[in-house]
Amino acid sequence: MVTKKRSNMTALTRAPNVPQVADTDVNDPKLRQVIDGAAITKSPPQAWYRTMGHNPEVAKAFANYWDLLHRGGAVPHQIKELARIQIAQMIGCDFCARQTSPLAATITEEEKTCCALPNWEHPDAKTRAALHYARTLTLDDGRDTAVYEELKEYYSNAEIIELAAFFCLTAGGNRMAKSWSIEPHGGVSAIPAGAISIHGRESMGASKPHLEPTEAELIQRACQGDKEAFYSLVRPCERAVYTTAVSILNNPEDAEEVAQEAVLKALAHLAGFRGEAKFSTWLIQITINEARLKLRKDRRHLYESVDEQRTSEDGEYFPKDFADWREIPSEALQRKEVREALKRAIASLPLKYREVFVLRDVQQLRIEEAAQILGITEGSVKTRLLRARLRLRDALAPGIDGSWSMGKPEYQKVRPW
Amino acid sequence: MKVIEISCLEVWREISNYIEDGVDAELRARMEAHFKVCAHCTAILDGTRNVVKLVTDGVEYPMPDGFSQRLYNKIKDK
Repeated sequence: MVTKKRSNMTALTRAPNVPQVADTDVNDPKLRQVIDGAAITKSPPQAWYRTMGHNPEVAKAFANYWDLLHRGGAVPHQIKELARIQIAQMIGCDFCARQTSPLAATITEEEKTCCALPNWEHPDAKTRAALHYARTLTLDDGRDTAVYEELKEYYSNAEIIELAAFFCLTAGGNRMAKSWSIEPHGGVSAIPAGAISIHGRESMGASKPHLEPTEAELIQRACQGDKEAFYSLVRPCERAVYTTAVSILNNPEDAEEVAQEAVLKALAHLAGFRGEAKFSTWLIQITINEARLKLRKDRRHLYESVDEQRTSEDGEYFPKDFADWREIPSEALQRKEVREALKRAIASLPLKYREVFVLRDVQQLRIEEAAQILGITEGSVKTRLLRARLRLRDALAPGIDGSWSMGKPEYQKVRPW
Repeated sequence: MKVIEISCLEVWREISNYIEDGVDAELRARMEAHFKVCAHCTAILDGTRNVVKLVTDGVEYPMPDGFSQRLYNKIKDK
């Protein structure tokens, strides 16, 4: 068992099988347009097209076909986007499961969390029929008569063709992302425990989906002393634990120490975990408490008052710099000095803003999860997020003359990077 | 439909919710009408969006080499 776990851990940290193309090497203007557009449309995200960018013709053709099926067509985008998330969860592609198209913003968190669970059904009959079809196409041979009868009640033949093409392109795309080992960005797995999975199925025609142990089962086993079960709980969120700790402490060594302490504290108190929140939420909460404790103990951090946590949200933050920032962020990010400036700017945020910003924008947790972890209201999360973003914009905006992007020396006087 | 005007201050208060699609249709319409005529608020909007895109696309807190193995060993040895 131990050997198997170790090999899994190697897989977690390995480099992508296919690297991403540097933005400076993207010379095809239409491919450039595809990559920039992905920053807005989100699914697939930019990392996907940067990887595909090694073959611009294939990338552009894929983008055209994808746009036609995903955002075009007759079937509502919302239905197709939810089915896409379901397929990503079933394939086990955390990278794809994490994305959500902004055009489908009304998809609820419950829908995202539950769409691939075996005993959950969507309340809307038309959406339910599409999800059943996506499920049988992904897991089986797609010839389930009952599924087709249900499908034909709500969709024309043309729409069924649209759905079939979209679902197959999605499943193929998910497998590509997995095979290239595109690193998932966020820290907590977007695939809920217990989701139906293609893994472990005995044959393509198997009628019963393979079920991973649920979070509750793993907790029960861990409480009985099963360390492997406990590590299975921790592993999907260990990056989130580390990122949380390092963003508060600004020191990798301290962050690792605090991350380990938080995980061991969670193990010691697991029997008291009542399951009101997800395990990952609880563990990040413990990590934040441990990191704050470390700040209080460590004289190096005394300048940063943890008591600031208790100050009210009164007092507005007004933008100070009205500079026009037109440089494409993905291009700016290729420059080391910009990446370093960004990290410094985040580190310089007051703790209460930094915590919210890292949970929401870096780790991409939901507003309600961030509120639960920090023990504050959703309204406070939104207020702090606004201030964090405005402060960072002021810290990073390149100046009205655009000299950041032009590399003019006079701007260096204002922005030292 | 007549769009009721909105001040810069109100736009700044809601700009973060706006980029998250977290404002209702009426407020969105008022803000979009404001952005058409206010270069300052448009600059704030673009910059705030850029900040979010920058971190979404690439701010990195790489885990130290061997982090997972050391964490696993700590759990195993506990």
